[in-house]
Amino acid sequence: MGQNNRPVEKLERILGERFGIEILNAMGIAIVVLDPDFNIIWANREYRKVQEKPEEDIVGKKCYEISFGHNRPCTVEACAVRRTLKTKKDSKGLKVIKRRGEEKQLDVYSFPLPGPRGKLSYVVEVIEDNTQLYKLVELSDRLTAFASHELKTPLATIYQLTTVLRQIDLPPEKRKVLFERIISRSQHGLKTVENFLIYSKIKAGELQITPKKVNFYRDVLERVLDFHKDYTLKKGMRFICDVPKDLEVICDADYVEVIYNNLLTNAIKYGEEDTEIFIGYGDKGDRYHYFSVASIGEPIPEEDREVIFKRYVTTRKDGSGIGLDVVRELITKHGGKIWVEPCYFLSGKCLSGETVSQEYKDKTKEGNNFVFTILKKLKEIQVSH
Amino acid sequence: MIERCKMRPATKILVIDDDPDLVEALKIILEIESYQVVSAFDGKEGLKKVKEENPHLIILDLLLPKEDGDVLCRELKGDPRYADIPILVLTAVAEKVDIKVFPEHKISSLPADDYVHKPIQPQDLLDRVKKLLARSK
Repeated sequence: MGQNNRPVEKLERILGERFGIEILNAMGIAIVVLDPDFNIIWANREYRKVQEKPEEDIVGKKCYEISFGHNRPCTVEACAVRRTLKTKKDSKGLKVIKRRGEEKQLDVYSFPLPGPRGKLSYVVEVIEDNTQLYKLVELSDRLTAFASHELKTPLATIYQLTTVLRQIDLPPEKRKVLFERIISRSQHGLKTVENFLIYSKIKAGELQITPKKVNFYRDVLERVLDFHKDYTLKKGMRFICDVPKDLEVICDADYVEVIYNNLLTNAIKYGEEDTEIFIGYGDKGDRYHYFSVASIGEPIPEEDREVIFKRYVTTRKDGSGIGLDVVRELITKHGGKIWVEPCYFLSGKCLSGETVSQEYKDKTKEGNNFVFTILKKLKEIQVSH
Repeated sequence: MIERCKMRPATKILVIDDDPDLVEALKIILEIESYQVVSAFDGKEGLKKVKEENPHLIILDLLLPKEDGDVLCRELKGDPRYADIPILVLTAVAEKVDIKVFPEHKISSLPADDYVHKPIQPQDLLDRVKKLLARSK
């Protein structure tokens, strides 16, 4: 193969002197060349994108003016370019700039470009916009802290109850009650761990459901209601369950239990004391089963009704933002959807949706009704044990 | 085993925590010293009980429904009627670990009289309560 046929030379012939420039422009990393007075000599396309400015607003300007709107250079401690100018060595740093009210976190690497006789002529600054990465790290830190807190709470209570049992002489009936509380709290702690495990399975794309035909009341609701019984009693709440006892549903009973556990935990936690929690069922004659959990409490504002089901979103200060995300994912696996609507309670009745008359609304207590659907003809899987 | 105190003039302690099991455990511990224990399970109920019961001391959690413990703490300490009631903050929010998640609950900036992490050893709780009550007399 002759010299003239080498691909590089072909490219050089096509692109001419812009060969190197075009390659730098095509890179998904921001590159800027500065003179020792911080004047921008050249910037690639990605740099203009990061700075959100056109070329004519960049070249010839000071870098600190472009990044921060300053009229003075940044400090040596904050600026990798200044350190390179001072030491004539590579340097790195983190730059935080604001664009349209949002912070961008940029990792900066600067390299000296020596001119003739080794004199420092230019500095090349290479910038990686790692805003998304930093956001993810922050979210992950936050989630870890929440997970620790959510586990610490039941563990702290279990420890507290145990120290009381060990150190204080109590009548046998009282000891029995405290032991039962310890068992119950341990179960709740396990459910919290279970939620996090399901969450990580979802994130890894490994969550699979195993649908089977079950008696919904016996195989799902009875277990769930029994599990939450103590807490509802402690808050003076009671369940009103309007689900047919002979209802058969094709679903993964374990995961539907997780759905109810999350919804009921929220209903008990955020519902008003001495009120009722309605567990409903509806069949509209379409392809879905309609299930609902309604409780009296501060209504979720209209603007939050969709976002609460998104990952990491919580409108509560003590929520991790994964509970309803887990619920939504599990329901999606069952071919269904979940939404929340305002509801109104009057003498043991719960009315939901837009059809409720103003007269009724005025007389009643407000609350939230979480409605979810499960596909009726979900494909049953024969599990061999 | 910790011995029960036989006689004590009624000293009322208000425990404000949304965890009924923890309230129960604290109640058992405090009753060893014959303190009279009243409880509230959220911030708003806590404030109501302070007004109604006029407690000698308050044990306060920080993460509470309806009104946070730190808000209630500041409210009480800023009100001359209740500012002298000692407040012992008892919380699972660890200053160094959880501040990223609960920045509003920076313990060091709270006007509480004492602060301790959950869970607490029964004797430690009784000692702290005794100390705070002695100081407030």
